[in-house]
Amino acid sequence: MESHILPPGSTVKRWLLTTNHKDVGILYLVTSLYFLVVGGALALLFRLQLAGPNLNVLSPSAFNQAVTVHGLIMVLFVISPLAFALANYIVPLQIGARDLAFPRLNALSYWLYLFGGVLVVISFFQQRTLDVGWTLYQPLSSAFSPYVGVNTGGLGLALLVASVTVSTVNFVVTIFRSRAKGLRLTALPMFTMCILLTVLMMLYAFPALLAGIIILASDRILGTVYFSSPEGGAILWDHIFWFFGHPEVYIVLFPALGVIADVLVTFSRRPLFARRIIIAAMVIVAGLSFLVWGHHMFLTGMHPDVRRAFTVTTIAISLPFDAIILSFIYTLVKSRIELKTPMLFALGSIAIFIIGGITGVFLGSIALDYVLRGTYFVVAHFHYTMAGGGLVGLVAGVYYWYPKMTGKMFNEKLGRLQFILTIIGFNMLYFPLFLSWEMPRRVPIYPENLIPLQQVATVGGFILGASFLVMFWNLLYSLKYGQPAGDNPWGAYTLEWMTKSPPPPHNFDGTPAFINGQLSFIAANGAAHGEPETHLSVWPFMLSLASFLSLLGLTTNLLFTLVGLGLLAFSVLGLAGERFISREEKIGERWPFESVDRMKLAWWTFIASEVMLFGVVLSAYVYVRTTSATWPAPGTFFDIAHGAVNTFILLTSSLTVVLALASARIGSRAGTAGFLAATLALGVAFLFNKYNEWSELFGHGITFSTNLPASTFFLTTGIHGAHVFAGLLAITYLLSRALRGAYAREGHETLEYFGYYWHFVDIVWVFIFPLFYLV
Amino acid sequence: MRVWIYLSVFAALVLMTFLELMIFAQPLPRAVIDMSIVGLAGGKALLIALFFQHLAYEPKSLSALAILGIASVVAFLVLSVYSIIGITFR
Repeated sequence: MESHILPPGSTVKRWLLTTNHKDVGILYLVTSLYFLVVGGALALLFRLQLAGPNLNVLSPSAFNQAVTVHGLIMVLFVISPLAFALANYIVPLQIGARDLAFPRLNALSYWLYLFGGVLVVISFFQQRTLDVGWTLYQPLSSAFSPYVGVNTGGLGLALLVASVTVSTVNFVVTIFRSRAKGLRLTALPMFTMCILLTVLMMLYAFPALLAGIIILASDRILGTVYFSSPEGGAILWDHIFWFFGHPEVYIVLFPALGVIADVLVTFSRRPLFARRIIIAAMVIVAGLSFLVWGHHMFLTGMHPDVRRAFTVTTIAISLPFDAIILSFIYTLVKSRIELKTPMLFALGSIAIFIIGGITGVFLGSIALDYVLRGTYFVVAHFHYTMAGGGLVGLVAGVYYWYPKMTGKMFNEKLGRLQFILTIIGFNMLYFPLFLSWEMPRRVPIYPENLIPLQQVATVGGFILGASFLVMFWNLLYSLKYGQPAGDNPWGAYTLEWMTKSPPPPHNFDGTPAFINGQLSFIAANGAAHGEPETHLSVWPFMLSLASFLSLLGLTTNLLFTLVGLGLLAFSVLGLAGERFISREEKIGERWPFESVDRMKLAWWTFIASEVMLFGVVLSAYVYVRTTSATWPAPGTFFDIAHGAVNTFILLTSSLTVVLALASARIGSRAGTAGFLAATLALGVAFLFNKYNEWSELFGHGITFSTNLPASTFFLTTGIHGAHVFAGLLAITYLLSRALRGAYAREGHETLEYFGYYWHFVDIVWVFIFPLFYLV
Repeated sequence: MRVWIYLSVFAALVLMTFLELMIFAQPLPRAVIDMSIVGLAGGKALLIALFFQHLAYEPKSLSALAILGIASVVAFLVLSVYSIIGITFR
């Protein structure tokens, strides 16, 4: 297979195997718009139910399912992926890179996302899907929702988190390591700057969701009792979910703000007003977003000090947004505004978001929150924020970059028609919901005095839905009949407009560089650098398919899981053994990681996400210990000897890993292989000891569901043990290569990268041992 | 990285683990024992990160990635646990 040549776009092979960032961006775009149709159709279904106060369009159960899956799909499978469709296509172009740092990982993240969504869709056909609200509150979604479809939907979310993690690592490394020479971090185009802040938030927020899903799955499938525990289990879920959930609001919003900033500059012909202040404000918001989650929990009766703290942070986070929005508005003052479709959507998004932002301040007040929590006021607020600020802003981006992606202009009249329908439909749909503030959300019936408001909302919903049909028609029609766009139809200033429309596979005919602030192309690139770069690989698709089958089998037929695991092993080996060429430019801006190669940066970014995963799991343990009236004294429930022995085993294995690395560095093949073999043996010994410990506990009648000490112990050490097992698989592969002479001659960095992971697993145990056995 | 540094760090880790076990067996107030043991665990983690993962020799920006994660976890832990102090669930 000529893996450096992309097959024609009309072939299935191209879209199944491509790793090129622009193709992956198109795949994300099409898939996210497909899920927009799915999520939108569900919304119209329950809007029909709400067209009258007591209709039977949907049963109460079907209503709950429609509301729940609509929320999850829109937030996780539409808005963020749509943002990353644009990011995939545009970010490498804006920073002057030929592709993302890890093209195969990029394709992998797309396919994991797609298969995650497929799992959620499949869950509809398994009697009953997720019907517990998109917030998955406890114990409703653990003890009181025993349907298999809920499990499948949850596993779909887990696959999505895997996709997000892979994508996050890729974008962090790309933006830090692949910028054109002279493109300082602070000079990034606003869209790329916003994507950077978004992925940094994703890096620390999504592992919390993964931790929550793992604990929830454990409660549902293994019978652990975290969330069904009457000792604060339900509130623990609130903490975990909203620790992810509130940054997620900004994760959804920031890419749209980036689009809006770029569009405002282009269509007002003015530089962004107070650009540095906007960036500073966004950094502050990104940081504060991890300290405001408690305002979703004012009604849980949490400690007054904590409520006050969350009120302060919630009000505080609105202030940087004031600066951002005022700067956007001031950019327009005395400018030459061109009201093209992207600009209309950008302005519309700002106007809608202002309403969403102001009403959010209401919800930051404890007193008002007591009245408004769980009502349609909240529904209206977050739709004005996430749908208005997020989705409408991203639609501006779709129109803005459509000429670059296709080489064709869209139909301006249809674009304006969609804008009018969107603004009218959006406000008809959501503004009446503010006025329905007495009405509880997620209930299919309501009092008759709300009929006019709810009916206006339903009509607005259908107008909004129709507006997207206009967009689909416009995009498809223009693809065939649109006027040629040229390279820079808007007269824009950022780098993506300085190449052809659509760009060639290697993006630029030359290496872009900013010298004294002026763009120039300092050398030919692409095929001129020796062996051509690879653009095709089957393994991302195969890995994702294997993961999908493995998870699907857990709720359908275990045969799927067995096939999936086999395919997974085959695919991992295929991926590892594939000769895939993706080079980093020799010159470029890499601050603050000039001396850190991209693989090392990728590993550390991944480990940062692992810090969050284990951090939340261990925090959950500390939390339930604090809430529990009684807890066994140290040494009475778990055998300290087992824990101590395993501590010494893992510490020794960390030593053997670094000694393997040291041996490789001095070219000792025997030393490298010997110390890797020792690490493998120690890892196996660790798991064997763990197996014995678990067996003894089971023998004493202590199981997953015995009590909170048992549940937390089995789950925490189980997750850790799974990491050890994954490490052993990697060591086996490394050892097999070391025995054939690898690493001792060259490539010992691989051992160092593996060491980062193994030592991290060791560090986690360093905390598990005292927390579970000694304290 | 010299091998003797690896061996010294390993010796320190083993020693600190023995210390944890010894402190556990001492007739000291529970809070003192707990804080000492968790403190030692933190010290061990730091040694592994600095010398086995080589963070001591890497740019601080790389450490910052992990430190931001740790700071987020600490915020989560402190605020979530503090939020339920004084609440009776039964």
